[in-house]
Amino acid sequence: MTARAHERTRAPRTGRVRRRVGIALGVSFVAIVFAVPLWSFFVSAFDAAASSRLRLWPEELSLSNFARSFSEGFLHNLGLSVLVAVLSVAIGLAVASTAAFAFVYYRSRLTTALFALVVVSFLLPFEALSVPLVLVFSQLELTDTVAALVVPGIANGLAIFAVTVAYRAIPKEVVEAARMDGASPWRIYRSIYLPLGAPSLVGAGILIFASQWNAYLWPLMVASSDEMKTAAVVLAENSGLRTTDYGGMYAEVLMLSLIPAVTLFLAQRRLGSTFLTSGQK
Amino acid sequence: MITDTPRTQRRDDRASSATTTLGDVAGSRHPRIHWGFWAFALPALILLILTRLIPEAVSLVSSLFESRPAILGGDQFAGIDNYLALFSDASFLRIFGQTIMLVLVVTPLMIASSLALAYFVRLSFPGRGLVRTIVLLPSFIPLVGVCVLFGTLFAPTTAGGINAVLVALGLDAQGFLSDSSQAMSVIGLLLLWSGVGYWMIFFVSGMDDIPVDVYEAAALDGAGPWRQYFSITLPLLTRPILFVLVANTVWLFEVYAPIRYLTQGGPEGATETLIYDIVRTATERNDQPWAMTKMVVLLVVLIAGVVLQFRFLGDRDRTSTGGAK
Repeated sequence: MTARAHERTRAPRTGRVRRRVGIALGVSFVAIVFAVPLWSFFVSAFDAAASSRLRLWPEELSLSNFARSFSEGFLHNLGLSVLVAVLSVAIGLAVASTAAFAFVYYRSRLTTALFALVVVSFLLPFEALSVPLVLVFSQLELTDTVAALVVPGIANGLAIFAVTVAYRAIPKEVVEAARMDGASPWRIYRSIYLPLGAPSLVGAGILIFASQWNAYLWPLMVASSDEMKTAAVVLAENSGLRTTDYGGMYAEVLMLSLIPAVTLFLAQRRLGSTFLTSGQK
Repeated sequence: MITDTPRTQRRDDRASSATTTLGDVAGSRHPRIHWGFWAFALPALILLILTRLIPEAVSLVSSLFESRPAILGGDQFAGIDNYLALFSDASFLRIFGQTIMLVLVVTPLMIASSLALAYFVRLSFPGRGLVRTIVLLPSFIPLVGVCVLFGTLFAPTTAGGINAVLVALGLDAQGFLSDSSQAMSVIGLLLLWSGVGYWMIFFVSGMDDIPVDVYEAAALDGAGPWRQYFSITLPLLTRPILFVLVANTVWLFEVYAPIRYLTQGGPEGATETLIYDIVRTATERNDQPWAMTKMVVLLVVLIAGVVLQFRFLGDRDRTSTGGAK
């Protein structure tokens, strides 16, 4: 729309030519920097003769890279990552939405002060805190368990913050009316805040999912047995710079990227595109 | 997003003084928290204390004890000795400088390129949906995955993706990750490649929020596209810019996977960053007090950085968006 607005005022021909050149430059930049490497990684995952070279078409089209990766047990690690992410999202959303409700419904000077705890918690860098956190978890004898992988992901200050901001926007008249009719806080939470704040829960859910799916340092430090290694940790382990199994690496990266992409695509079709940025609002 | 709090709070305060506060607290004058609050909020508060505040306290306390491998038992109280030692430690100062350098170079490039991409994918041209998707794709690849891909792309031999292209063009093959003068730049490129599409989304939705008539009025007044971009788009994007700036700064300071996976800090320590050094000190050298001292410094630098960004952009934000909304 900006383009259309200025097109009208500029001298028509030079403006249009300049705009076309600009768009062509932009498209070629995106093609070279993003499309070519991404496409090359994609086809290499299906190439039995994959190497570190960029290629536009597989030399030996096959699924052997995936088969080899499965036979090494990558599916187990992928399953564990999915389990950790799903558990974190489910419990994390329950925790975040009840806490957000508490901060909005029982709002007072003291509870607002406690809310500062939430804000501080997401400003502290988790990666740095994970070093002392390992000490805490080993004191609790919780290392090398699914709980150890899930718990830090549940406590997502940014998710609580986002849901609280959304809950604050819910009209107080509705809540007041329900209270007059004798609805209990639990009823108000379930019948008013939960449904009306649903879009913010989708955003918070994506936030938790992404942070767990990308987690590397924490699972690396807290889980040592092979059964407790998440897919990201195994991928990094399998593909040190020295190995030559490029095909297996590409296949594993592809699998690790497809799961969030498909999840987000499905969520987007159902809920529109705005939630993607809900962290911002 | 973060700047949302003061404004919403102010609005809510006005609303609550006009009517009454929600919840049963409204009636009582006592500054006590209703038990219902604890019933709903306790799980979250306990988790935040367990996973964020306790480790923070552990590190603060631990940094005050004598630096020594834990096996030997570093129980001697040292006060601020560790901090004093840290700032005369040449290798720490070098790593500190390298980290700041990485953040200072990558941040403006990240903001500028994601802003430019956001502007670009909002223009109407055939195939823009595809372009938008392609730019977004890298943010679906977990950072470890991006590291694997960049490892092959920037492999130092002529077999590496980029080097093969350079050689085909008649240029010399580069050392990239094995060259101490280039390795950090490759890490920076990796971070840009993987982050730019994600931050772009925030700018696209910010630009979508700007009403079209503002541009139309400017165009009637004879403002060209550049003028419109700098006088309308950028000032009205202060909020998403502040958010991306803060979130991206925090991310850059604590990014760990690329260094661990691709370079292990090398060659010759050229890619050591604070977070990498902290984890290594705590795990390989098993020296908790020393690692925690460094971590407290990292936290202070990070928080100072975030506060500075709020100072610079927060004030402008209030005036600019105040008029628009």
